[in-house]
Amino acid sequence: MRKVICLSMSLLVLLMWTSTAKAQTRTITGHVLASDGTPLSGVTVAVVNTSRATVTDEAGAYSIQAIAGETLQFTHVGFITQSAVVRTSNQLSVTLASEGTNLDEVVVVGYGTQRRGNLTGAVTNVNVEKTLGNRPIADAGRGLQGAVPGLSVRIPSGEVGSDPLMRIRGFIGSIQGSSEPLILVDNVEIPSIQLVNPNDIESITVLKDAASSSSYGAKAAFGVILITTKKGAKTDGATLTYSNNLSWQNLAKDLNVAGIDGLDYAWESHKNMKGSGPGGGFWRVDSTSLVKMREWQAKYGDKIGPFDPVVYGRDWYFDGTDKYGYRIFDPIAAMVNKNAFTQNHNLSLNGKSGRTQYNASFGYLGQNGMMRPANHDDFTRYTGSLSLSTKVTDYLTLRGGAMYSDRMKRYANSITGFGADPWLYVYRWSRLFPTGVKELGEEMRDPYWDTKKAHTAYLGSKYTNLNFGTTIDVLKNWQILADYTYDIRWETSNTSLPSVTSREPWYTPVALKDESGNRIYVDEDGNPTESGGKPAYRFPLVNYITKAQSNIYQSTWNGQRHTVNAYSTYNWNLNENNNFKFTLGTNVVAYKTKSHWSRKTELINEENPQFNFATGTETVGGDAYWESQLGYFGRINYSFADKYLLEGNLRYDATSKFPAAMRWRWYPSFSAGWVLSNENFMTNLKPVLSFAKLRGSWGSIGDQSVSNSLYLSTMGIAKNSWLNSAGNQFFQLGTPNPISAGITWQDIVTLDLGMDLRFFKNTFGLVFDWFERQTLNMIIAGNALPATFGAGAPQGNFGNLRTRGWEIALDFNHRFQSGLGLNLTANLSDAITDITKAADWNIPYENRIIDNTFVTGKRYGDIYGYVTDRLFQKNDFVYDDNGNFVQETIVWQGTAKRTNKLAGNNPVYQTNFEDGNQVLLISPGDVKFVDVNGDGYITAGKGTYGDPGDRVVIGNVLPRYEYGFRIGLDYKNFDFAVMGQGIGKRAIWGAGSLAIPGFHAKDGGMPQTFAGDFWKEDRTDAFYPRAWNLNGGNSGFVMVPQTRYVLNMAYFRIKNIMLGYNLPQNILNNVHLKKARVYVSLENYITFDKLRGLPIDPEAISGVSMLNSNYNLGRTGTDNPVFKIASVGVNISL
Amino acid sequence: MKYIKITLIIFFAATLVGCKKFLERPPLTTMNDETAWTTEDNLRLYANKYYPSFFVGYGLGFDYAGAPLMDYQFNDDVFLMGTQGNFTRAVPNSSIWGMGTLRSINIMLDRIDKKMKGTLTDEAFNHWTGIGRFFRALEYSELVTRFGDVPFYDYVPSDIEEADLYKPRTPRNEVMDAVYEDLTFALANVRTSDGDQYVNKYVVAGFASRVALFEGSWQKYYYQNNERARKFFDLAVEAANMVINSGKYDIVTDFRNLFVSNNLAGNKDVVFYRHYDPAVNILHAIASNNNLSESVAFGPTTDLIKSFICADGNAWQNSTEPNATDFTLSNVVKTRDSRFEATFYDKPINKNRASYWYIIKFFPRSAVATVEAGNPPPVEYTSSKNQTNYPVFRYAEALLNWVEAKAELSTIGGAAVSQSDIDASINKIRNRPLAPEAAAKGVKKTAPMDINGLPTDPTRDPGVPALLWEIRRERRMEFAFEYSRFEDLKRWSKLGYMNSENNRDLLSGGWVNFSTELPGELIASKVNQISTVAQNGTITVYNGSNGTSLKGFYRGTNTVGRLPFLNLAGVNPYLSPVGRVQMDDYASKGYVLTQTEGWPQN
Repeated sequence: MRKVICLSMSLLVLLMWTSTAKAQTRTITGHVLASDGTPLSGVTVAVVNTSRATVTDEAGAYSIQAIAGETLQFTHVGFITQSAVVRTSNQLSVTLASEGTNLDEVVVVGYGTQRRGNLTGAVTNVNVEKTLGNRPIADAGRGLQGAVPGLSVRIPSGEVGSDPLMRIRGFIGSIQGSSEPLILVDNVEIPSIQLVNPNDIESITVLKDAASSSSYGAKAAFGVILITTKKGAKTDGATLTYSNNLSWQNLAKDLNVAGIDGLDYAWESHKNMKGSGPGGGFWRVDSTSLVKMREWQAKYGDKIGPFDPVVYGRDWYFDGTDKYGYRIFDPIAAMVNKNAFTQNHNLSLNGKSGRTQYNASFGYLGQNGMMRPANHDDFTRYTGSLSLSTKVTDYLTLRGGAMYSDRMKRYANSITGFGADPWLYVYRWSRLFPTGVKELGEEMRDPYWDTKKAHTAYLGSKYTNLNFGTTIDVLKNWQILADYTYDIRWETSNTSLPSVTSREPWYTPVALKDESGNRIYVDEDGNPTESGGKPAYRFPLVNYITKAQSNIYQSTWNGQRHTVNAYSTYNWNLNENNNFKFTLGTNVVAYKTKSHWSRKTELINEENPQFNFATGTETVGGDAYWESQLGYFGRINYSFADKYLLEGNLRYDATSKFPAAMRWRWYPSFSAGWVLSNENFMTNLKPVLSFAKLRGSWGSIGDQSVSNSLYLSTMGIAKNSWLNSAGNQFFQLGTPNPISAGITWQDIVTLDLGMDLRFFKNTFGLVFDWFERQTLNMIIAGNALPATFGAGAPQGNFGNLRTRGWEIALDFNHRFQSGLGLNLTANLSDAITDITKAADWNIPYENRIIDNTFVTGKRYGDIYGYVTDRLFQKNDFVYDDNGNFVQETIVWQGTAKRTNKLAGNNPVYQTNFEDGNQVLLISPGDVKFVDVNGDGYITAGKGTYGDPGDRVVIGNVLPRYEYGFRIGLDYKNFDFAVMGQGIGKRAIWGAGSLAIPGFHAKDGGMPQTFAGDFWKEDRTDAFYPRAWNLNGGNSGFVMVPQTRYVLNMAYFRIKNIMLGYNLPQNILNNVHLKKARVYVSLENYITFDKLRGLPIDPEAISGVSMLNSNYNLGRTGTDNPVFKIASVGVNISL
Repeated sequence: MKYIKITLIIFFAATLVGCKKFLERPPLTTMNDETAWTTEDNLRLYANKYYPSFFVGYGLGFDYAGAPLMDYQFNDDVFLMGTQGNFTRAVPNSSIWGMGTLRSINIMLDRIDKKMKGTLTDEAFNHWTGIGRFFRALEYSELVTRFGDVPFYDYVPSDIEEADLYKPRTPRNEVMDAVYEDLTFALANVRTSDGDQYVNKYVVAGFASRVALFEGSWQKYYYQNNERARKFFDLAVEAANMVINSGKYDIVTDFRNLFVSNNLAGNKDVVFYRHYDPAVNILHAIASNNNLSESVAFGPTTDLIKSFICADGNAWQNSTEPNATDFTLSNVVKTRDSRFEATFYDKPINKNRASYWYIIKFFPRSAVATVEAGNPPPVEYTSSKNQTNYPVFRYAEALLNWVEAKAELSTIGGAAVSQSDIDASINKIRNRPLAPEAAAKGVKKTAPMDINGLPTDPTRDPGVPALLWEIRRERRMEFAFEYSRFEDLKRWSKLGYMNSENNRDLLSGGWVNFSTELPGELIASKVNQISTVAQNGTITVYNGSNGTSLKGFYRGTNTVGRLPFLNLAGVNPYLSPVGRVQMDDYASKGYVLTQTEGWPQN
């Protein structure tokens, strides 16, 4: 399939080969220079309203046919397009200003455009070409990571086809609402940025403050990402562009999972916890078996490969009750793909003919995922778009277009469900579990074979957007625009589950017998013996997915949306200095969804799972939803001599999510700017300070991204697990949830102060913003009620959040005499969110509970924990003559516990962590905490601000100091760029075996980082405490949140390194090409983190996945591993 | 200017859709408190959600909470490998009653009363009120059993009435009087039949006898209030009588088959049961934990083993059964009450790592044969794929509750228990059919109990009259590894039976003659791991060469007894303390949450 696409694209390129038009007038020649005087090659020179065009050569020279009065247009990537009229001279040279520095450039803003120099809100316009161009990324969101100050993009796993998580200015805007930015494509909301082919994007503007986004109303409370698509060329002619990208993906981080050391940990923890019998879980561990494991390594380590069959006697042993393993298997090698291939092809036609502009494009993305045994783990996307606009009369322009996106993700259906899928099982058990191997030619139940046998699951998403619009130029300065868009989205999910029978390494083994039923005996290499030897066993054959459980499932979901945007602008230039612009408009959205699913069990043809080939129980379900919004908005812009700038917005908004009485709301916003550099008294500073503007804005927006049932005591209908005698499930009607009377809108109020400065003839620029965003009347649970209420406190508008932060962006452009061009951009931003009011606001400060999520005065995301001092060592304890611990009874708060006596005067006891039953006893190798409050005991106190015990804030889960930069170099036909991105500060107390030492130590599955560095008698300088089994807890005994073991998720990542080469003009001319470029690009190649080698990606977010809402039980780092990409590509225009 | 007019019309036409109706879009697929209370069918749906939580049966999937075998291992029947479970001995940081279900039930009762009077017939009104009050009674009796005094609400408290929410704990007796009223109402008004697998009058009566017997015993032994005890014992008798007199139930199924059937519908031994079905993936995992393949770390205590009555109706010490004092498993199986054979595998095996005597009460005989043939257990008895039904209320319990309540009443002024009472209850159960496989092994029905010839048990607790002692023994044999043993000890004020310092039989398991029965265990790695306790209490530890003298009740050398829990200052094993956090919370609001009786108030 991929080959066919490659081939047909190449053919198309050949077919579209056209010759340039001939002209018969004067020859105009000239040079095109950059502002610093260097010649610019590859600049397109076109005669407006004709098909005549050419490009400049290496010396910046061009030659074109034209007649007097015609206009030449000079366009070049990264530079502002410029026009010049042909007069009498045959010579015409121009200097182009580089794009990043131009203040006259027009930027797309909410319902309109604005001259960059006159912007008064917090708006960032993205350089699409530099940021997204030619990168091996699936969507624009991934490309925006690190590119926009205040826009945070997180990619928590390597799951192909997943959306990046995006937030503007702080991570939490409200708890009930989404906190997600509104993504608009040509003013129409889209649910996922993956729907847009990055190649179709003309511009991206990020609106960050309320003053900029308020014209989008109640959905724009958390900022707007405004995408406009390519609409056609500005000059006559047609350009056909083909570009591709071929890439190979590999693990971005070494997944170092413990082998024998992890089992040593399991055994140590068993001993430390005074366990009886052997340690371990399904596979037992004891001192003898650990010796055997090491012997195995010495004897077979280099002889037996990771996929060689498992052999009884050699690799494992069964004593009649327990199984012991000797061989260490390699689940990572079995499960993770190497060099997963991805390709991306794009073909687009962009042009103008007379009064008609057009753009058509087609794109294909085929991306492979990282799961090696999956029959299919990939993501395919086809995108097509068409945009046509024609000026019917002088005053009437009509336009229409369509956008289509077809996405298909294929992946191995998880036999156990995505609450615990094969990725979790890679890490869940110790490496004694045979993985990816067979036994006596038969397959086992393990993540490898489970995946291999699983049917492929399909997650499809089709999106169609049809739009039609008009622009009416009523008067020269009065314009009316109206657009109607209908979009429809279809989501489908198809899965099936075959019946599965495999050898089960979990269960009790069965006797191994030969064909005539005689017991087989083996020697210690596992070879059958004629006489002597041990009786052999094998794993039992278990039908663990029965015929009755096999099933086929299909779900469909569709959402339809009608969007009408209509607005009118009137420019009133009172005189040269006093300019007004009035905008009045409306925005109407109606949205409804329907879904349906069905399942039928007992497949009779498992190779071809179809509903017709299933004979069991049929179950169905479905849902429906609708919502609508209506808003009116108005805006006034006033500018005095481009020096004093004012803008005022007002929006009147209504949503169907609230009952009629509280439906309509007014939302005002204002912004103002002062262009200091246009003042006369600043003229002397011009050589240094080319431009200076101070800005300020204030605005308030309502947030309607909440559920439509907030004001209703809903009672859901569901099936439950009580059956009648025929096996039919009972249906149940839920208990009505308590609601609080008078629940209403959340208000988002933003204040922004900023300045834009440019220095040294615009070569160096600085943008700084300080902002404060308040979420007022935030909907949160009321103050906790006593258990007698029998339900969580009803939600109400009880909270206020305040996010404060700053953003700084720098850019620098310089072209050296040698011709080397340098372009630097960098940004840094920070935001912190404080809870200024929570439901406990009228409780005295000292009684507020620090562990609640919403506490008045708490910083959002703070983690409270103990301060780690060090690990206890042997000499911290007192021993009797036999070397046994001396015990002492410690009474604290009326509870007496006998514990090991500590040496020294007034030692600090930690009996609070002990069980009082002589199993949990603080001993050498355990964590010693700092007695922060000096009361002589380590405790959590009452967990209130008045009595926090010895706990302090040890970190915050939200990212801080996010930064990104790009260094671009170009010399002659070469260009080179490096993009980096990072986070300065983030902490989490993780979950699961990869993040918590001892999480499920019994199983022995853990990172080598823990297993190779925990306290033992012969390793007293270890980083991690002595082995302990928390039995699946994320905190327990002394492994509670604390300074030493909280995960530091700060990182710095070289996101992209790219080297490109543009074919020189003389070669291009010979082959009739306008442009040809080849490049190599490395994505995600270098990462620096502070995770001590843990197999956790620093961008990981526990439990977040597109496949399941609490993916893999919320365990940190257990998802599809993050990958790095090496790619090559070409880009051809003709 | 014509075009201006046209454009203006287009412009405003778009905005005109904004009529009120356009914005009227309430949720389409959920009911709510305003709309739901309109039909009896909806009411039935509402009550349906209580079934899986009140009648847990074998649980669901790997969730063992409230399920037999797995969630009832804290008592004197079960011996754990290693350390024995301990009582709570310190006030926990956080612990409090959960009243979510109660709120749900009170909403149901409130809405029936306030919104459905016109919709329901009187009969239906009373039935559903009875159903609601039945569940409320069950809920409160559970809360009271755990905490003693608990705040009582027979209405839905408002979230803004702080003083009401933080009100003091209601005295237990007051709460239980309300439970009594609820049960009485339910008994009088719940339908005798309300459809397949729905609660009916007899289900109510069965559970009412359980609740009333508990409370009667608690009043008699813990509060020593005979008057209140009589009130509840009377209710227990009355409720059990309803079940018995209905004529719908009988003792006709062999013991094991009560726990391993794939469909208990129509079974006369069963008043109420939970059904499982693979077609809808409603399955459990209890059978997997006694499938002869899974190794388990819990088994019977020697104390439980010794308590089984012999087939001749005597205690083992003075039974006339041949070799009654020989505890070799193959012998015990034949000489003891038939329930013993139905509860335990007939050979010691090392899959039971605590006792070597393997529990198979919940595993069918046919599957035992499969495993004995060297195969893995059938897949429906592995993992969480079990589909056996659980009898959540058996007729046998109604009979035993009835006779015990009568016997208790006879000690506090009631009529004496007659032989016909014994015949109608205990002897009826003892006459239960034997499984053919059991009969083939030589298992016999136990001789009927004679009120005038009660067995002499040298180990009888002197504080318990002989008849009650025998009734309690009958209960212990009947319900081993099911819900009741710990509850029974509590209501009899006999948690002292769990004190492993006084009763060494709590720290050993089944009788094993290692050299003949489990020679495979006599290996080097078991040296100093295995020990046996002879009948005279002598402990023999395996030293690698004394295998032939390893004969006795098995006891792992790492066995650790239960820590002291009786007569400790500030510890009351009978009732649970509330947490410090909750007491602090009350205090911070200016209210007082009193600590549970017997626990430090500080």
